Amino acid sequence: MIYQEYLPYDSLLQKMEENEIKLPFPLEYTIENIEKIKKKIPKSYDNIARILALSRPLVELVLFMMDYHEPERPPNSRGRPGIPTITLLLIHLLSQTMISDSYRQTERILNAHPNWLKALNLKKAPNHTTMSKFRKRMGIEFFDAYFHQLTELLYGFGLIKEGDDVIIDSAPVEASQNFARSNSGMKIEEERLKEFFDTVDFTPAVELITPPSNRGRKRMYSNELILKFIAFEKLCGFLSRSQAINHLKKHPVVATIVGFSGGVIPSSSTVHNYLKRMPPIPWVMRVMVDPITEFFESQPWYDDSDPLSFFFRSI
Amino acid sequence: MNRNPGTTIATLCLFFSGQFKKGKPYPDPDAKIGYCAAKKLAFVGYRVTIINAGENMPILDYYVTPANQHDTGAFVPLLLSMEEHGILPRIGDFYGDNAYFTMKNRRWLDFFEKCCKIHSKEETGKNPKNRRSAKKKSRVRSKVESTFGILQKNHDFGQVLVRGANNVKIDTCLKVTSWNHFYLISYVINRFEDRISLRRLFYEN
Repeated sequence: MIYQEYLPYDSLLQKMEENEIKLPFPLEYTIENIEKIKKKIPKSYDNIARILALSRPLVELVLFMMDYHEPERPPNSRGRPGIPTITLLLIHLLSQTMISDSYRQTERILNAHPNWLKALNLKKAPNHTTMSKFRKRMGIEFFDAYFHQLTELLYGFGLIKEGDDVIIDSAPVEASQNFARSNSGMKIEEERLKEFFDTVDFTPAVELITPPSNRGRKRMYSNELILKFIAFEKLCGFLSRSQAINHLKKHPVVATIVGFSGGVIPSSSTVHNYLKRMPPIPWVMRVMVDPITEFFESQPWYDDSDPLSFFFRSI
Repeated sequence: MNRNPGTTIATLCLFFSGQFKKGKPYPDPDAKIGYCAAKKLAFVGYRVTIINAGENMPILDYYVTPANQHDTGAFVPLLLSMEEHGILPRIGDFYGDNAYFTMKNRRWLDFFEKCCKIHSKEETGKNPKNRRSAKKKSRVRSKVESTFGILQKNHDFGQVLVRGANNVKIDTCLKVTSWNHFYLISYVINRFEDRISLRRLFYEN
């Protein structure tokens, strides 16, 4: 048997010494345990409660095969004891079925079924944040290892035969997102933006850039204008340059505030070409940190923890 | 000059890092646009590839990729994962649709000494070349489609309520684990005939 190579838990070792169980023990011990539980299940239990009660030894066996040990509680700990991993795993497995659409609903459904809670050895369902913390704490490695050990157990029970043919295929999984919300428009606080560009002088940064030569085609936009556009793009937190450009195209007032009067807005590649002829932006903008900081410090509405909301708000 | 260090740091970050690009609500940064040829539908999200044992339909392995990656990209990682977990030597022939019928995949199958029964391009379509073998392969392969269908009905497969690739992987892992777990439970409670229907397992005596 494949399970002989795994070291048993202390309790199992003890039972082995007392000759209560014989080798190969983990699988047989589990089957015995399941039979014992079957006899003890109260008549009031419905199917799901029965399944939960009978699932416990199986989850225990898989965790045992994974060589997983419940983290020990620190001595002198005053807090409430945590929910065992087996119970949390069972709740997660149940929440993946059609009985619940979300972890919040799992919490509500468990609390509405005292028998299920009894089968899980719980008085109250864990909060959905507890479940979330559990998933985060364990990580994908734990769940992946659990899945593979469970597959191994299927071989152990003879439910997958050696030499079975396999089929591979894929299916789409839609992401969790609200398309309506993600496509909603944003509005710039125009007065604040105007105040910013009126107050902050970009001349020190412009002086660091070598002026263009008189040869060749005349430049359409000044370096100052491009720097102002970069400041606008970064400060207003646009996700991409083209998004900032599109915003300027749709809002001529904002474009005028930034400096693009007459409705002429540079394309993304034009800005890129201008930036190629300039020193790196962080190097140029380092002289602007002081005036920009002073501006923000003088503003009563500025919030350090959420700086973008100063200019930007969702509509 | 007395300057609030928080403001200075925030301003510096605004200028010099892309991390402060907050903008409009960004739902799932790892989800990508993909196309489902069977449904003729574009979608935003992920693609889950599973390996199903033909006869009784337990899931042997799974792999999650962003939706913009082609199906074939999941084949080799799955083979390697199965090899790592010791499943590969215990399985028989490989069936799959023609998306997996690439030279690279067939070489890997040869390397692991596995028989490739993946649909070739010639065996697909309304007038396949080798009608008989194509029909035989289709009969075996079609079982996996029912696995996806049942997963969708019983385990809410096909949509996730979490964001980020890592969380989606955990969620998918829990879904396939749940499938195998209730499959095993149906055997333990002597109701193996209800292994596929969770409704019957849960609500019928």
